[in-house]
Amino acid sequence: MTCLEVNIEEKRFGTQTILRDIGFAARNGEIVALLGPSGAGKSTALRIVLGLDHDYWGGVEGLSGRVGAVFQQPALVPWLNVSDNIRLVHPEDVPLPDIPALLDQVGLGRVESLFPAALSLGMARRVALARALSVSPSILVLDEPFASLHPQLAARLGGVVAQWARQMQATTLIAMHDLDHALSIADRVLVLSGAPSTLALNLVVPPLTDRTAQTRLRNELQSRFFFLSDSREADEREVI
Amino acid sequence: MLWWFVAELADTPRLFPSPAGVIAVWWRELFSGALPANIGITLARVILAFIISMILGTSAGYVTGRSPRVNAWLDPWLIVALNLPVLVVVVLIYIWVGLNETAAILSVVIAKTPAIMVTVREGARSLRPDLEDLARVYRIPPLRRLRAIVLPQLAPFIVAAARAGLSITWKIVLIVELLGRPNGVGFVLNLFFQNFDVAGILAYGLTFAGLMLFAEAALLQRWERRAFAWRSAA
Repeated sequence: MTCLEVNIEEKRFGTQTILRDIGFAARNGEIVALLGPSGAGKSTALRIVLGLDHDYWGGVEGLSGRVGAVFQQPALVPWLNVSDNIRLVHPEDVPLPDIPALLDQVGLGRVESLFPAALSLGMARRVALARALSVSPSILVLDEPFASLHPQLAARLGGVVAQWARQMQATTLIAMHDLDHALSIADRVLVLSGAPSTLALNLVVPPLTDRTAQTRLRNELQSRFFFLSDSREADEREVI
Repeated sequence: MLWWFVAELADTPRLFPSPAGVIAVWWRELFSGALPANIGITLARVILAFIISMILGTSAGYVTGRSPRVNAWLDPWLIVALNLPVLVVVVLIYIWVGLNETAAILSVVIAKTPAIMVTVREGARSLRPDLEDLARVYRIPPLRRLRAIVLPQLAPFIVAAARAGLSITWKIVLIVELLGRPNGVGFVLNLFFQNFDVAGILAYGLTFAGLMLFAEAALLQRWERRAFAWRSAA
């Protein structure tokens, strides 16, 4: 069953075309990783999917129900403490989740009463992730949620997101840059490449248990796209 | 001290009264009931005009800051209003509306609102876009959005407008009273002026300025501290 259908024919900033012919669909509960070099327009594409940018040719269908999002910037409200930040986005028709437990899941201890200024960027991102999960979303859009985190923590949080997405049947779209990490949590990978960016690849990821298929896909992707070749190094470069 | 010394030197109690002379007049006016009554009336006008112009200026400033179309339409009028001398506004409104209370308040509001509008408009233009995205994606209801996201960002601008606004409002109210009201501090000052009663002018003027200073310090600053408590809490 198709849940989210995205078709971006063209997106321009001024006279420059940024995105062209990006069309894909995601099933209910599917986890889709969006890969591409820095500046490929991943964030722009996600903003279009979220309905924050209407200045493009094409259309997005299926953006109904509750949406959870993590933006590039954590976008925490500075005059509200962590738990009030989570309560702020809370829709009335959903029971309020157990906030300490939720924060614990994203690897944060007792931070409920802290204000955002007291958090590091990595912590703020995790609060934003907890906030996105707290609304029981049917669509989850995450823009580099694991950037500026330790690789081990990133792997763990990826697992948390994947588990939530499967449990709640949330269609999940994650922009990321670490290929190994993407292959370990995603059902499908999309690769943006070129100038303007087009959808260079749209592939189903073989299950993690199928080691040979995973390795073959990984090697193929790395040989085709230079920006995926050494994800460890890229990871360190992006640490802020 | 300097005042006392100069007054002694000048030795013209009528034109340059000593502090003791001013206090004597103040005492007399206070017990005759004239001073409390007139100050009360003026204070009521200041508060009413201040509240109305704050509400109008804040909402109009927010709308013009958010909508370029409304701004393009209102901006030329705003510049005219900002540069219109207060005296012209007051006189015209008295002629058109009549020498009554409505006209008095109305002219203060018209004279004061544009400046508030300009300040709040700056605030509305600088609202953080990431928080607006947040509100849109999570479909935060309008009232909650206003209270939790928009107003706290506008608060510094509203406070700045209120502080500048209060001090200017009471000065305009005095002019309005002087020109066309049979009571209030402005009217009394005019009477004293016609008799060259400097002691009376000082007694009323200083009392009223003192009261406004108190209002500023006690009320506005306290509110300001509360509104920005989160900064120190962080």
